[in-house]
Amino acid sequence: MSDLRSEEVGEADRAAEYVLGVLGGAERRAAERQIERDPVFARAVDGWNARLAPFYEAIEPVEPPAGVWPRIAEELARMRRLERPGVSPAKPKGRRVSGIWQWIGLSGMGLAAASLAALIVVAGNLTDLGGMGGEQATPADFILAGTLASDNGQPLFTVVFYSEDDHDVATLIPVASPADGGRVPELWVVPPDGAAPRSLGLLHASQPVVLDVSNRQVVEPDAALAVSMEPAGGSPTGLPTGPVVAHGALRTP
Amino acid sequence: MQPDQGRAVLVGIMGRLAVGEQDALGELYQRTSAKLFGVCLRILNDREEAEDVLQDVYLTVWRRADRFDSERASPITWLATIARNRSIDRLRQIGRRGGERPMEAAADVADAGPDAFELMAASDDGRRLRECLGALDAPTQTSIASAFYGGITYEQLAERLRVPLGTIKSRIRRGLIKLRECLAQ
Repeated sequence: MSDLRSEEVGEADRAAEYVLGVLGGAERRAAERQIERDPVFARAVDGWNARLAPFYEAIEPVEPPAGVWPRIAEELARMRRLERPGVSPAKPKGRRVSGIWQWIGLSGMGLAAASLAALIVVAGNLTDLGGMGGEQATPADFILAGTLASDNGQPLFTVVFYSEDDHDVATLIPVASPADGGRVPELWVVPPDGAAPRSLGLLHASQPVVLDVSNRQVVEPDAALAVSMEPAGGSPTGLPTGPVVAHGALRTP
Repeated sequence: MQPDQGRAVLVGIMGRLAVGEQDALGELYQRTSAKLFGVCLRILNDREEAEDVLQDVYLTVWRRADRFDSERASPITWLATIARNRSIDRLRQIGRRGGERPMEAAADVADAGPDAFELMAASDDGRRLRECLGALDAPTQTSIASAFYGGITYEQLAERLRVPLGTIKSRIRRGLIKLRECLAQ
């Protein structure tokens, strides 16, 4: 068969493969990051989207259930409400940061979460993170995982929560260092009900960090996480003061 | 849906969304939700998941409307692409959770063959893509269509079509090169 010569076709058109949808999760995200920063690649992706667009013509429309739109409208109204109150034109920076905090809490509800590049890491992946080889991690040890991404969707930290001998541990693996000289990244959990963010501790911009977060009410359904850049030693006020460089939702696997 | 007829209207709606006009999202939903739900359902093969993703798609559209550029993409393609990408992202998450689904969807892969292409002939672009796909050998056609409609990885594709991974990769890569050449003519 001609397929015996398959190895000769090594040159992959990543844009085409991304659009066709054959890339795995990590490669997909890499391609999405490339779209953001590489205009040539972005145009190639546009080109393939257009080439393959007629495939959509062969997909029959299906009327969605009546309940979907009200949920969208409700979520939209909530997003819009949060854009307005408490806006102080004199402090545009402060408004922006607090707006993000509110929005993160909101997105922790799960509705807008996918735009935060929320990522479910299952037990199998936890195994990889822990370097335990092919053996499955005990699912019971594993609680929550996610990716903290910046506003443009670039993942900055992968975070995994699990219980260890009665206390909760958060492991953060940096994906890319947030560039901010002199400041240090601090991790926060943002409750879904709009309550004040709680600090989970300081992170390291280039090394995995294990934080003991026992008694800090981290494992809360629908909570979100965020990373802000704070003065050395951490936020002096106990609340985030610096710019938010990453945020993401948590989901149980 | 008649894409060309609706295009100008959709471009108008996208423009209103881009400046934050909330009512425009409802209009967009009325005109496009059946198509986009069809896309989500095709990829996910699960109504509940498709509903969740559809909801997320429209909120994404609301936030990203200012990035839509009618010079670069038709609105319905832009929207369908978001719906499909979100569905694929969800599919990757589900896939990581466990291998309970692959075989169930195997029958669906077989459906993605030339029969589906009949429906593509509605537009000029559709006719051309269909002709160019028709110029590929049958296994390549099936592989490309299965990949598009299944939203699945090379690895899953190889498993479902029962061919070696290297074969499926080279088949698809070669097919995509030919497709691009053919469509450029």
